[in-house]
Amino acid sequence: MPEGDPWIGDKRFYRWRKWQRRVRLDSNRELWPATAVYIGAPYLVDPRGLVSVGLIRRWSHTPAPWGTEKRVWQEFEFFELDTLPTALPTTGPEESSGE
Amino acid sequence: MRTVSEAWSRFWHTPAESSTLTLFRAALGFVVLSWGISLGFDLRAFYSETGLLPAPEYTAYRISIFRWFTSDLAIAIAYLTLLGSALAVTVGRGFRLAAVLMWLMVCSFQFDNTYVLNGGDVLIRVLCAYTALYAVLAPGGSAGLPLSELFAPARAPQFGRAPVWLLRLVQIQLTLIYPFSIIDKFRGETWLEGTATTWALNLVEFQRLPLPDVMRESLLIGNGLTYGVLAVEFALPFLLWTHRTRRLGIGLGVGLHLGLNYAMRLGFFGWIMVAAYLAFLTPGEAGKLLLGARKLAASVGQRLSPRKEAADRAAA
Repeated sequence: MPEGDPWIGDKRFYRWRKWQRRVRLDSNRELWPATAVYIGAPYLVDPRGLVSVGLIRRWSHTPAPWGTEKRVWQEFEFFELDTLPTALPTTGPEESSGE
Repeated sequence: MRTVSEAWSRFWHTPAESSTLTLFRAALGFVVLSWGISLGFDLRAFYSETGLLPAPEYTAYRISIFRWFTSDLAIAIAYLTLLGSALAVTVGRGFRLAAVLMWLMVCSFQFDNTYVLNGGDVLIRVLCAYTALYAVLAPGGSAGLPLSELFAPARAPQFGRAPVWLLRLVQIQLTLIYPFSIIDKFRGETWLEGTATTWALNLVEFQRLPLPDVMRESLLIGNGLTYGVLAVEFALPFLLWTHRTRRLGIGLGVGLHLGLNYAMRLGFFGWIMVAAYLAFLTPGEAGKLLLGARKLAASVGQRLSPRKEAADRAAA
């Protein structure tokens, strides 16, 4: 995901951040297969082969800025695509989401 | 009743010198042009059939040419049309067609992938819609002064007169944003308890340019900023529409959005808000800004031309 500099890159970053925030939602599960294909596609040319693409939800409770609590990250894989691009899940993301 | 009717007509239909319109038109065109250029890096990812959203769903009211034309060639043509029309609106050439095309292309890209939009993008679309409506309905020659005439060294620019209802729509749109923003803020707890800006400034993914640590860490400063933002947003509609406080309102509003734009990654939100504020300038104020830009351009041109001549002589 491009983060970039605060001048030019910033003007791209906000769109990717919006996508990232929305794609992880269960209500947007129809976006997951195409997102996994898009992420995995560049690695198809890798001679070692592409085993699978996993979409991982990573989150933490945001500690109060004035407190001493430390941020603790948690994560879990909410969608996995086994092979690309011919074997897109036909069972639908709900069954293969691992939730 | 007659007085109300006359005031209504005066408000919407008294023509004014077109300097404010020229400034707003050029600013809107520039913002859309910049928005379009930044979109160019991610056309494939966001809009192509091989991208993140190969088959977007459209609800009935969403206008987009990508409902019918989905190839990469169509995306490329639409993208070039977006840039070309935004440039034409900026410089004030072919305004009627350019404003409609600009609105249509902005709608096409925005409705084709709504998952990447923020509030600034939506405001861009709304202001493009008002401008396209104005371009279609206003009489010919109502586009304001083309920039080529503003910056032409040979003669002084003549602004002429133009309808004001586009500027009125923009003013009302901008004003309505603040009450709704306040209502939205009161739904949560952090604005009421005075910690909202402290939380926001500490969200790493939103941080843009450096701020003193004390602004992120001090609860006292955070309280001041939070309640200050609420007070400004509450006051702005009154300040902007009162003759004696209009300039103060413009200064506070533009300052608020430049500050937000400095500190946080909010895309084009700050840019389009500042462009909308230009609609509140009087023709005299807008004319001064434009003539100032003309003088600056002439001064830069004069400074560069002797160097160019010297360089040409040296090359010869």
